[in-house]
Amino acid sequence: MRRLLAYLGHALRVLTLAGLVIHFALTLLYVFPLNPVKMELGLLTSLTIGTYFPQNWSLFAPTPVQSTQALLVRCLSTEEIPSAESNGLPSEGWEDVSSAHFAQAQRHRLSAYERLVRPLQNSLRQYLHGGPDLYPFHEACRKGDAAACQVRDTALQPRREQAARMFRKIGSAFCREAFPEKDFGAVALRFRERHAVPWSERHGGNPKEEDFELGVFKLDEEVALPGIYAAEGT
Amino acid sequence: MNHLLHKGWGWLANEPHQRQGLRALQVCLGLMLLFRASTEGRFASYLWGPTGIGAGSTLDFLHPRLAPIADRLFTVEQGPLLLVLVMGVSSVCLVFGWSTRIATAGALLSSLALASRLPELGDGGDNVARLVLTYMLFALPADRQPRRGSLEVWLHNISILAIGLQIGVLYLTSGFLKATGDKWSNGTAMYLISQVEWFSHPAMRAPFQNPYLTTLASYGTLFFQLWFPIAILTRLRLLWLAFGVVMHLGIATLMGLICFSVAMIGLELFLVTDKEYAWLSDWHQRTINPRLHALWRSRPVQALVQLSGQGQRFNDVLASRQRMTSTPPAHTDVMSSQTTPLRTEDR
Repeated sequence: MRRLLAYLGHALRVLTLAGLVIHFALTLLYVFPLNPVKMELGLLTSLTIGTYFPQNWSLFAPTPVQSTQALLVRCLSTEEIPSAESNGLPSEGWEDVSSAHFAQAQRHRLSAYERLVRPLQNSLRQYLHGGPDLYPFHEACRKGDAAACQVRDTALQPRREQAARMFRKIGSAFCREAFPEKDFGAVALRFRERHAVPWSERHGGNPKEEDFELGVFKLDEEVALPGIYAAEGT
Repeated sequence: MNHLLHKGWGWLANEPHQRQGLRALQVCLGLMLLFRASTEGRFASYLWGPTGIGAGSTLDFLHPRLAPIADRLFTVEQGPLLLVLVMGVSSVCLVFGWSTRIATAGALLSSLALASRLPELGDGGDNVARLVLTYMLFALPADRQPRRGSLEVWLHNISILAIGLQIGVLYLTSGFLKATGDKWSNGTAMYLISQVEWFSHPAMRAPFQNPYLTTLASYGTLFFQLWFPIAILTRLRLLWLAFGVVMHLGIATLMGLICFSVAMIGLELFLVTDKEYAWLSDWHQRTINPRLHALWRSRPVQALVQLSGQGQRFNDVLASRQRMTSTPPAHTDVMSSQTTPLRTEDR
């Protein structure tokens, strides 16, 4: 009996060690860029590491973030909605929700502001690029691979819809909390990208800004309020 | 080769390793989760509640039959609050070393559940914390003294090895990916990051316009990460880890990534061996303590303290500490000290 127990103990030790080696071999394969082995075993790594031990260490790599992405919100009263859809959106009254969070997070380092803005910022990044798994397809598409473009666009569609749902909730929470006395029916959302000043123009250059319309969404009347936009957010 | 295998097997089988490092990691992860629970708790309803912004499900990692049951937690307002409470209590236990295995399980389950509801909230710190908490389930509780060569020692050492390998994977991947990017190789990466409002304090912008600083910081980060898995196996380990701690303190202050930085500092402190902790403690006792005492006793400091009216209380504390440190060290024969005659008389 003692010999059997000793044998089982040894077997268990060997098994755990082998499991550790296999686990980290698959982990390395999962986190590394696309290569021939990953093309062969990609499904296995997605089913194991991707499902139970997901990880991504590519923030600031291979290319660091080079622009500030911000969500602009324009709360629309019921009278403004038709004009927004037919004649374009109002040019005034847009609120930069992201930058307000950044300013507060920089003022209060040990606060929740940096964390609270993450769902918004990560959704903006997802809306724009779809996530790290689509980077190779973006790159291949940029080089003229039509099949890669199609795969990318198909994968992007549901992710953009998911991100847009997040924008709608955050925009609605902002409108309802920042202007509690007003009666809004919709929220218009705009995505602003403020590019870093290139190194060569660092002493006198100004950051270039680009705005993209995300659309007009029906106000979400049910979304819980965070309690930070009461004084116009910000 | 045989000798190496034998040595490796012995390392895993005989004695538990990194006990002090594991405590440091538990304290750091506990502080990180405590920060999360205390700052995010009041936003639980907004972030994870039934009408909150989170809409995810545990279906990603749970069985389709189990996931709907787990997801019920998010259908009531109290569900997310309960999870934050579990996270808070677990984090306090981790910091103080109370029931660390149960606390690890509590911290892991609450983090996993909250992350499944709102995956967009997390950063690299949350990601590595969840992985490391999973490995830590197999580590020995803080106060356990196991039998030499037992199975729990083996499992503890396997979990230690897993945490170490995970840190290696993290740094190697991050460094490798950076090395393939042109902004890192042309030395402007840190300048560009300093321009992004989300990740940089305004105070970072002007200094990183300096070509020497931005090149040094970009190459330094790249070099540090790429060489990390090798450097920690050499005599440069403590230097590398100290650099890592300083770098992550900078990231916490200038970039505001508090959770990520605290988790990374914990992982760096984890890699200091028990022998090195003993050596550092000894060095601290021999070098730093006497200097601090001398500084405290110096006239300018005493004058300042007397002015502030706090001097007497601190001096009393200092005197009592000195009495404690002047008692015989552990390895001397206590029976031969002043207490011996009293005990003899008692008998």
